[in-house]
Amino acid sequence: MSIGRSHWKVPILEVRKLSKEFGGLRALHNLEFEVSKGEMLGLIGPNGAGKTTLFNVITGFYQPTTGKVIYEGKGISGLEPYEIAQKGIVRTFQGTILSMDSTVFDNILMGCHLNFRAGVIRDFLHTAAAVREDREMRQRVQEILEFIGLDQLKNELAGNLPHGQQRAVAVAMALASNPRLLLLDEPVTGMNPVETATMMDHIRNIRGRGITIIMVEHDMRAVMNICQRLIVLNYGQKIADGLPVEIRQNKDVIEAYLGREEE
Amino acid sequence: MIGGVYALVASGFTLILGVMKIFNFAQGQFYMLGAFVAYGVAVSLGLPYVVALIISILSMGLLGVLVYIGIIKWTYSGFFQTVMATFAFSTIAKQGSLLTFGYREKVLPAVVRGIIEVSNVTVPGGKLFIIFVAILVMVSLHYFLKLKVGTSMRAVAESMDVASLQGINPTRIFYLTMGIGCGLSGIAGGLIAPVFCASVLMGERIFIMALLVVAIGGMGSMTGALLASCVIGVVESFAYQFVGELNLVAIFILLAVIIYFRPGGLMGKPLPIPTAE
Amino acid sequence: MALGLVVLFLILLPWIVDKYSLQLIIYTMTYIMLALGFSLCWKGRLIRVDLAAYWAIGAYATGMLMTKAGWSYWPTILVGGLLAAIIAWGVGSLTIPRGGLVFFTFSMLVGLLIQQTLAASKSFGGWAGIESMPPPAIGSFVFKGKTEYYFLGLFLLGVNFVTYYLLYNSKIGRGWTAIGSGVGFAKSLGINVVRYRLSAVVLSSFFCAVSGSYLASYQMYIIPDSFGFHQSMMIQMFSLVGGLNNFLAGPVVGAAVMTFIPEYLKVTAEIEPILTAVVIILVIIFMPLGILGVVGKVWRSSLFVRNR
Repeated sequence: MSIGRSHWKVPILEVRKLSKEFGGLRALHNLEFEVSKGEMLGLIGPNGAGKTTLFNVITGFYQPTTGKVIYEGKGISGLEPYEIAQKGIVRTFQGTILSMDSTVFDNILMGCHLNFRAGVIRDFLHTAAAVREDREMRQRVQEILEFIGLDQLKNELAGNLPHGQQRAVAVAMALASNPRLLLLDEPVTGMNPVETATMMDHIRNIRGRGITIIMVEHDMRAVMNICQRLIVLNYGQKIADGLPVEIRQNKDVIEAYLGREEE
Repeated sequence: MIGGVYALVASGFTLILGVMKIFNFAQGQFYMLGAFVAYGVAVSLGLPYVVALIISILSMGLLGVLVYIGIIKWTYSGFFQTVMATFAFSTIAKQGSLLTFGYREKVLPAVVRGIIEVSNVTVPGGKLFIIFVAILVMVSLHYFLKLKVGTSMRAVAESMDVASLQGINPTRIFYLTMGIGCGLSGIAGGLIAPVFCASVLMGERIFIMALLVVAIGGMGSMTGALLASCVIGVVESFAYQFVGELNLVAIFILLAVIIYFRPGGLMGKPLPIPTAE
Repeated sequence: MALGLVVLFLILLPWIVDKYSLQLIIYTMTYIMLALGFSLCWKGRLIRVDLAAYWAIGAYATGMLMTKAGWSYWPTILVGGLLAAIIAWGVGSLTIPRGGLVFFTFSMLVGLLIQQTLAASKSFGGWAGIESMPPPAIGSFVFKGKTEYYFLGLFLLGVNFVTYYLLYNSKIGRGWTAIGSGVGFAKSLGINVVRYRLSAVVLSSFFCAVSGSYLASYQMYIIPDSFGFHQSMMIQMFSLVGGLNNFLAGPVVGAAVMTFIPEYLKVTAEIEPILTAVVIILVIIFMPLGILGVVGKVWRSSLFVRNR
């Protein structure tokens, strides 16, 4: 029986009876959970449990087979990914996807894309309003660069950076788009302890800005330290939902991980 | 009748596209060369027609593999690059053939006629023969694809990385795919040679038809290609009665209608897109 | 400063070079406009094989309106461009959402269709095309020599170039770059990929038609054969040779090189396509990023050496 949820009344995300099938393969089965505004939720489970699939469904890259996703009170299943992004849900990808041929600065500037108010034509004509907005955006990018600590690298091509820093750029981009709900897909996988600690700090800071975060991760220590609540998936089904300290002792969870190891 | 020929060329094209993600611009040229080879073997060497056909399919298959080794292998860096590379090869093939087989007069190139009699039966029988051979080839292809090799090809079509993890050697599959794909075109050319002629420009026309077949039938699907080629063959001859030269437009209208109702073509699931997805 | 010198050079050009070279330059400018259009779509990773057909639309619009309807030259440019834009919009709306491969295949088929239709219709002059078009005129000033055409071309190319330049450096341009880096990536940033790609396709079609109007007015005749599939591939070649990753400079370099160099290598008309084809293959293998790619690499490694 978890007590965490009663502190925050407003669910920012609701997943109701969500299932996703590919041909005969059932990737997600009857998922049901809520995420409260401002929460820091960890999504864990053995490999292949369906965590990335869930992200893909929430962000519109896949359509649910049954069930629905409700964001800020309104259903979003069936919307295009770009529409969902425009509503404030931003995600990172597992295999850091950036514009490799662009500089770090430009990448993050792309992340600001959602926030450009000026219409396309006005931007093209470089009206005063558009120019001003462009300057504001660039300032914002600069702020984010300093916040994440990438300022030194801002003119480097993203493709030239080591993996850990590319991840940081991806997070910076996600931040730049001013999300209300941020989905991080394995932000620290493959990082050494120092990089992991830095990234965790960033994530805490982001959370400090009031952004709700759902994080998929394998690194248990990171997850346990930072997440207020955990949801555990196995074979596409939710097998546990609660505080980290409860989850750690949950029999089903232990079995799920152990069972997989024996395979 | 001509639908059978379209089916062969289109299937070869779809195969190469599906497995290797290569848009083989030169598919029509293999058809043209196959026709010339058949002509050369049957007329110049005087060997029986069936032998000519077999040599068509084998020589074109071999040529396909050679093209892969010589050109495609080195230019495999992206969809656009392979498009340009196969296009370049098709130009070389066409121009080279023009220079070898016939000069270009002002509007029409010289045409080489291959008139072959198929066991005393005149041309109409020849048309039946084409359908017969086409069906024979398609059916053998169908069963071939069910073999282990066929599943390997399909695995590579799905995902090259996963396939190689499963121990499949992609290079060998590529040889096979190019070989079969181009061989199909070759035998199609060999089949059509006695009925029409072998001319250097036939490659371009058949390529467009093959594309239409693929577009109407669905880009990944063999059955679609088969179905679509029959339909197109019928529509084409039919429309010719009414509008002559513009019968191609009739096919485009057909294409537009089908796409409107079934965006993926008749049987299609569009292939996984090779460009940046 | 350097820009000023370039502009000055361009203005003085007709008096620096001989008449034949000027003609080559006029053709090159036409080709540059086409190649710019190809590169624009390529930025969003769309390959199109129908630009020659839209070139034709512009040419025929000008040709038909001037010869059959007695129009003055200038409005025909706009009509051609708009017509091309509308058709491109129609086709693109249907094919772009289905992905790059479908778009590519249909661009080829539609391009062929347009060309065949224009060529086969007797009312458009059939395969013989349109002849004896009147030259453009501004008031009583009638275009007579190459110089006038040169400046017209420079103007049109300039408009085209500046438009693309401004777009590339704006939100749209960044959107296209993002799409080019990955469709899923761009979608997750909130970019409506279909709309962005469609606008690239429509815009490039517009300018290609403008280029067609220009060419038609210069040649004063139109032959449908010159707007075929082969020409569409030639356009791709310009971008390839110039530099696939250089969306503004690549087309310029590629078109210039591929137009001028064959002039100095006198080869027969029969051998030329083979030579070109071989060059394409060699470029793909050895200079995948084109001439500018090589230049860029040399530039960067020289920087590295200097900084040691």
